[in-house]
Amino acid sequence: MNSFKKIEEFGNRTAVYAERNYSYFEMVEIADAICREVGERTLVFCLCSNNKESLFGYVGFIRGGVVPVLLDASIHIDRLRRLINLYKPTYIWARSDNQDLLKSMDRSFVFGDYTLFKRRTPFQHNLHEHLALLLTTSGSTGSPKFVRLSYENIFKNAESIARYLDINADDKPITTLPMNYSYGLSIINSHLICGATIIVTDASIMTKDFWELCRGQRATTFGGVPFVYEMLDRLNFEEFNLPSLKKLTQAGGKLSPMLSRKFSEVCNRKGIQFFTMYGQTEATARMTYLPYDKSLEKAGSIGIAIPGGKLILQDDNGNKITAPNVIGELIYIGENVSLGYAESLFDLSKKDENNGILRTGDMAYFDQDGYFFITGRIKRMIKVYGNRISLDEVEGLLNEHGYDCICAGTDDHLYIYTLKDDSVQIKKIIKEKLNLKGFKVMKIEEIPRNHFGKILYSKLPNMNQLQSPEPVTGNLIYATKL
Amino acid sequence: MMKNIEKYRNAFIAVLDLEEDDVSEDLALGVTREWDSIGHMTLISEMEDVFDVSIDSEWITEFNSYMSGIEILKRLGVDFD
Repeated sequence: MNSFKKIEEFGNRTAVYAERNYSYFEMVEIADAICREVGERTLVFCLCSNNKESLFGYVGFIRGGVVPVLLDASIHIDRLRRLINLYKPTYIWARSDNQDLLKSMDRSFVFGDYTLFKRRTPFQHNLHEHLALLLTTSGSTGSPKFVRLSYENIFKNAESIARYLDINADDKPITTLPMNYSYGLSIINSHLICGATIIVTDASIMTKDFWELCRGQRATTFGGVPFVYEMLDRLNFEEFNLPSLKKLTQAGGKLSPMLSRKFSEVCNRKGIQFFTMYGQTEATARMTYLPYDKSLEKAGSIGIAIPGGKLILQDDNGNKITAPNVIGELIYIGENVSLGYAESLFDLSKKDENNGILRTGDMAYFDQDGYFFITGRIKRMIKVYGNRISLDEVEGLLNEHGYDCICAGTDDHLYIYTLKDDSVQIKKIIKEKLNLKGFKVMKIEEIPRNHFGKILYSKLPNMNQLQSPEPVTGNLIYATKL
Repeated sequence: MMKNIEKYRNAFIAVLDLEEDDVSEDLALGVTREWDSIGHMTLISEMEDVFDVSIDSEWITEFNSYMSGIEILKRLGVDFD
């Protein structure tokens, strides 16, 4: 199942607005030309910004059975080189002025500001027949781990989303999230299969350009992670006059109860449907949604399973929880559950390892009406502006650079503990490699451990109480594009 | 007494975690790597605190470069001379 193969049926309808209108017919023509140049089922890297070049490249690769890895165009060159070594992409679709690629690869096809760069030494990839797409998981920790997605994953999820959001050809989403981020990509997929028009912009919602475009092109919808809603709140969204806006979606982390209530009320007053959703890249994008007419009554809930999906809770002994208000691990079952992970090109031939079942690592309960609420996380993960960061991976990265550190924290607050006087160097690495800033580094006398040597993270000094907390600010996967 | 232009400059250094030498009149939202949306929110709050002004939403979206920020603050009565 590859629904992009049918989108030329939308013909002269506008597929994309990017400085001008591009019809579905025109988009498909360009997309297929990019893919035709690749000419075989192989692996390509697509360095994405929210522009027509990235989008058309993606559409072409999916249509033509070429497997793209969607990466942020602002990816650090060291990380890109590492990924090239691990995955040996045959082509890289990137900005034509990319100096590093100009030196190391041959140029072939050009469209707009992008060039298809060709690998100099051919490599034969062994790709599983269902493999369609690879997305990064924990955005900025520099991990080479990708989520393997099939054509069925992408389009089953897109169809389900289109159904519960009632997407139709008259919808006009404007981009607020990067297309290489699963949530941003799901907005594109679910609208393209419905013949809708995507307003593509790299402008931040903090700029006048964005709002002029939103108004001028009469956008009907956009999505946002919690930070987007914090920005909208700061911009006095309630006073905005955007009559075309009909639907707002929120995912990528839990909105504060105050903002959740506020946006439910404001949207209700303005006649905007406000949907809270929950998902992970490991499930393509979305797993649950809270219907807009329940947004106030069930504020704070992630809602119910998307059409075609199922949610269950499991207790510590692996038994299914059937009573309301009992906390257990949230497990999702559906056709959008990814095939598994890849850590190098040798994993690209692997078959489906999840079989439609995803252990989310989140703890949750459901209420008497069957609405789910997340209470915490099992894994050592924090969300920094909607992006999952593995504390173990940050520790691993620092370790690679010769720093023995312990990482802890809560959502939007990353704390790094060290035994030496190396805070300055640690800060520099985190800033350069992860593009994070505003996190805290603290020197401690010893690492608290139990008798078995296990680190007692709860016994680490709480940096929040030591000084006024400064939120972690990061140039993360989506934050760069807001 | 620190001059306003120095306070302005220091706000960029502190909020965006820039080096002294990185600060120039070319800084721009979305162009300067450190000046992303998250940095922007913090920068606006910092300017409001430092200069004791309130920057409304329209001006937040116009505050997109080092130079336009000075213009906006001037309009709010901050003296840069």
